[in-house]
Amino acid sequence: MRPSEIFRKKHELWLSMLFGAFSVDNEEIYNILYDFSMIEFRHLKWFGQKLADENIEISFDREEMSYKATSNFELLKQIIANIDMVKELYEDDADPLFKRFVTDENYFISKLYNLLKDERNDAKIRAFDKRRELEGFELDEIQTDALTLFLFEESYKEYELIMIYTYVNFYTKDKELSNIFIDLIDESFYHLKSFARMMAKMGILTMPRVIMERVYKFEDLEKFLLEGIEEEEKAKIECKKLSDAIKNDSLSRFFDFINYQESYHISLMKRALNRVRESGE
Amino acid sequence: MSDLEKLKDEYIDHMMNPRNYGKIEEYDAKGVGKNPLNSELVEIYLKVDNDMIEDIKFQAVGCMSTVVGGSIFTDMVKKESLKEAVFAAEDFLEKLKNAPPSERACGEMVAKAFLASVENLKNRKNGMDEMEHTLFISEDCVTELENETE
Repeated sequence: MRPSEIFRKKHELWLSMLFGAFSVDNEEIYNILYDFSMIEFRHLKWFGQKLADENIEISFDREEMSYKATSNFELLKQIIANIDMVKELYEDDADPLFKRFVTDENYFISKLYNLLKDERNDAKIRAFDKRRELEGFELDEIQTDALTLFLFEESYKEYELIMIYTYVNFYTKDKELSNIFIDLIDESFYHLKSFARMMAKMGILTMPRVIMERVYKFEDLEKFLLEGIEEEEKAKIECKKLSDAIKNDSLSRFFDFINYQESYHISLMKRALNRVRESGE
Repeated sequence: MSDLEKLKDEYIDHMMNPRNYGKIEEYDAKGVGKNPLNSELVEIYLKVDNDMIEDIKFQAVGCMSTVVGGSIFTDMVKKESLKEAVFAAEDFLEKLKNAPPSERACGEMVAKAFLASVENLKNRKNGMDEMEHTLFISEDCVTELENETE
């Protein structure tokens, strides 16, 4: 199989593990799956860098690898099957990167099999039942609709940002720029996790749609950052609007907290913009 | 479940499972509906056999209304004749005139992308070497909130 095809499968596997993790209520299983999915993301990043260094084209096009299950055990079996399928694709056993993939994934599988041994780990998954109720919060219809739309829009946006900055970083030579992009990726991961877990609690968990190539394969980094700053400003307005509409102390505080983080993202992006102008990247 | 609840449930379902999202690698036609004021756009890919839409897919850079609009529209015209689909797109544009500005722009982007794909098909049939055809929308996607903040 061509390296770009393996990259595509690794991308699908990472997302299936990440969104599988988000769908689970059990904190222990969630933490295990989330940590493993973050290791899968690092695999994807290292592999992407290798492809970029070898001038092999990178694409974030993908199919959807199964992540929706009705129970924890069904999900764990699905993830094991997904890992097994992807593991078969690694051809160059001597390559340290592939060796690392294999040893990590062998461990993931053994750990997931262990979870399957204890019946107490099984439970129904309700992350996709569209009930649109957030346990512990009294939200009216308008508030629920506003929150639903916000979560859909922003979870996609965070995934998009993670992928764009990851892609740009494959080709960035400037260390300062690269560090800023890594910070922005980390921040977006936290937002994605927060939004997706809330979506799971409301029964509307959804894997973000595929990102169009023209979104991350752009020529003008300066223009991208300028537009990105404008978008962050809009996201702040949406976040504030939602925080005001929700009228619930705990949720409003959370969205205000996200809003302040967006303000810092804007300053990070402005720093990146200055750096691009100085370095001519 | 009331009619409104059913409609909302259907809307959520399109958000969770957008129909026909993606691209067709070996397409017969490709159209783009674009907002000239920002980076929002819709791409529509067609696979056509004897003037029937065998397959249709779309991709979007835009908000959820655009994705839901693309999902509903492509679902509606898939396996229909081109003539009926063009009629549906024009009818869709007509009906959008009464919609709020943000909905209007999102819907228009989908309909224009489809009409652009039909234009691309015609141009290809006429021997033009055109990768994709683009039509721009006339409505700006100004949300009520943005109006409020002006």
